[in-house]
Amino acid sequence: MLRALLYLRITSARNQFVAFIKRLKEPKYLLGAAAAIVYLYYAVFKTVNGHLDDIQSSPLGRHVGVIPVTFSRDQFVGVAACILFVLIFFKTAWLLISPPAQPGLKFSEAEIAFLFSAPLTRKRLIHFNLLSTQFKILFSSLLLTLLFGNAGAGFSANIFKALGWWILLSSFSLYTIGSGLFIARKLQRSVKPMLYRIFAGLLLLLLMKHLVSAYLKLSSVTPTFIDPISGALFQTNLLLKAADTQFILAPFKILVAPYFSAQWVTFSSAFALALGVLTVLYIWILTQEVSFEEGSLALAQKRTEVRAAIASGKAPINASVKEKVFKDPFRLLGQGSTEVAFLWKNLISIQSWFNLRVIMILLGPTVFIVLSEYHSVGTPQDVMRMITIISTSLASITLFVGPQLLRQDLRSDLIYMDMLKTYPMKGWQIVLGEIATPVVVMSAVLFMSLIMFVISMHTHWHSIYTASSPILAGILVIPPICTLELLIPNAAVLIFPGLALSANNRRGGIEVMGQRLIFVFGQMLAVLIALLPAGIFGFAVFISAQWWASLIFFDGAAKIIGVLFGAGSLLALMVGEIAFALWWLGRRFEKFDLSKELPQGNS
Amino acid sequence: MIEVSNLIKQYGSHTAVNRLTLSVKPGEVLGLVGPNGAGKTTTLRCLAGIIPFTSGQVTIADVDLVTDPVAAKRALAFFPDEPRLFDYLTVRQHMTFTARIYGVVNAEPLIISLLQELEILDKADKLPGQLSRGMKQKLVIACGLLHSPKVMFFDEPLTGLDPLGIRKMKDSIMRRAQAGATVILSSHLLHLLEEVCTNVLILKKGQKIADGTLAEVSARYSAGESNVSLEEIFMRATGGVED
Repeated sequence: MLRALLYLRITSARNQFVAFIKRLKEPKYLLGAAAAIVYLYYAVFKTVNGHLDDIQSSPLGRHVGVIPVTFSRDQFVGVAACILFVLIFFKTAWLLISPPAQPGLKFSEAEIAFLFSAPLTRKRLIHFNLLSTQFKILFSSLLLTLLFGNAGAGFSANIFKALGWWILLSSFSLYTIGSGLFIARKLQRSVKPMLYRIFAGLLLLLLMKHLVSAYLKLSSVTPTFIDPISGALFQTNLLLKAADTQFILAPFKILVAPYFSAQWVTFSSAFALALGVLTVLYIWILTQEVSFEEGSLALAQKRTEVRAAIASGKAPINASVKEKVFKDPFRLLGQGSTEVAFLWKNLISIQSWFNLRVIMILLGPTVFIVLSEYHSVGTPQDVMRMITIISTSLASITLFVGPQLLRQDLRSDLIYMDMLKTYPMKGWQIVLGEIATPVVVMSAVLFMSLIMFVISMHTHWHSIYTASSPILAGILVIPPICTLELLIPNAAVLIFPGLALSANNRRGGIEVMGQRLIFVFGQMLAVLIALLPAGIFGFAVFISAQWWASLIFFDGAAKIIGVLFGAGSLLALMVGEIAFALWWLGRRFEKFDLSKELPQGNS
Repeated sequence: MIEVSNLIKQYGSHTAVNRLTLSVKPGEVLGLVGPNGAGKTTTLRCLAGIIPFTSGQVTIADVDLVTDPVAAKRALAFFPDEPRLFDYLTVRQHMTFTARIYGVVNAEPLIISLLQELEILDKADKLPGQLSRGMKQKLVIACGLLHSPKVMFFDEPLTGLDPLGIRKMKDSIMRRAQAGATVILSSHLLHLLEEVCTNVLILKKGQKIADGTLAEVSARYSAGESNVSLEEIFMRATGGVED
């Protein structure tokens, strides 16, 4: 029986690999794969190793403050164990906050049809599932070794790396399967699952608060470093010396040790120990008397629905919100600007993503930590410092990641293109209407961050005039900046619809990752090009206007006048750029021939 | 009401629609038939302004589709074979959104009356995911009829409907035509043409091979025989093979 399962797995894996290689024949996928490999090699491997080398060799790294910074092999093991611990921690946190409805292992519909009705025990099915994951893990381990390995280090060192990756990925996979089954089973048996979730959530919040407190204490004794990575490594070094940390990290150290082994003797003992931990995890999964068939069926059906929806050119719907009705964001009258109809529609759609649970997950811990810090160890200055960090982080994330996260625009409506094209609207009106929702949401978040920042920096503002200047500038320039940012990915949808479709399909693979990287960098570059001339001009106007105004008015008023003129001219230039972009994209939309881009069932 | 002259649609070197000329007057229902790949859907998509055509002239309700697409689209409604609905909008929200897009005055009572007519008023607060295929089709029709279009295009309107749904759809198309609407529909179902259409146009490899009233087309391909079925006429006209 095991032979049949092995045959199925090997044949599927071989065909999958052939399909992957065939896909690389398309230039866009090949380019994507190349970009991803180059990025991973230089951005991750080179950067991290370079930093470690710099820190170890620099005088600052050798001796900073009172504690010497040295990075022995043990400490590398410690750092890696920390990372694994954090990954496991967040995985557990996510499972507790958003547990699966019922225990389930991932099987395809075909596997369910063939295997679930076959005379196989539940343990055999689990073995088949683990075997399936092992194929992916082996391939990933090989890929990661090629990427992070060192050809000059010799054969043995690379074998240790490959097996080290295998141990790490296998342990994470086994833990994920085991904990998923365990938590789902507990929830099924629990009388009040909501109470269980609240309890688990509070527990996680307390743990997070404890971690933040520890981090803050650590930060206070950390000397200033030239770069954040050195600082983080210094703090990790301190953390690793603590007794309770050593205790918590012990099993994680066992799992990462084979990766850092240099000789066959040390590797053999480390590998044997790690295999021991894997065996414990394996037995944990096997001994869980969980009926996973129903859950697996639901998972497979969901995946098939998503695939079928994509294949037929329709939007895959999130099963968890399929039956949830969202309220009208405002009353939409029959007459008026048609672009507002799109804002209204997409604001309804965004509620599926931006719901109370997400807001609680995003803001809950922050508010909780700020409040608890205020009442315990912190001073009002500490709280203000934290608000400054939170507001700048929030603004940075919104600016850089916001356009990728908020996709309630042409990117999500590309599949409805035939409908949109029948609407009696000009192309630019549809483009404007489509991007309105992410612009409004991004602007609101940025404006909120700005106000938080201004409040937290209240000691730096000399008067109400200086404090109100950034807010005034924000009101004028935030919406056009967001519009410019969002025009780029929406332009990409109309210019490269195939790329947008592959992004919507959530297809994996290193080549798709590379395409997304190219896309994100391209977007940043395009926004920079659009903003740079307007920014330089706006700044020049600000300086000139402030200087002229200072000859007539007092300082505060001169600053406000400068900001008004500077931000106003920036706004004017950006509005010009936006108008041109909308006109061009509108024309592109009107000429867009979706029959050339999307698969059509009929002719 | 619909005037098409020398319509050509090309994909690279492939010509999907080749010099198609047709005219449909108010109250007429033109059935577009042809084998798979004949260019029926492409023709309908070109006429509805969904895809740009390579050359030719299309006039919808006396408005040129190329020079004033917005005015032309205001007069038409396109009903695709597969109901396309926004996943997160309820039935009522779909109607509200469509009303704003077409600038429908005093939309609220009209929405209620249409939903009532199509027997989906009780589903007003349901999402598409909670509706059967027939219900979704009804919602698409309700959205399409909201702005009282003068011209209607149906692409395979009976796909996926149950017998009762088919009956109601046929009645609905005929009622709209009798009320003065101009209708073009594409279908593989020849009995639909016999029951609903006043005119028929047979397409093969993007070219018109026959058009006229059902009687005219029958006469052309019956070769003097009596009681020749439409299916037989279709076979003779198209050569009985797919494009």
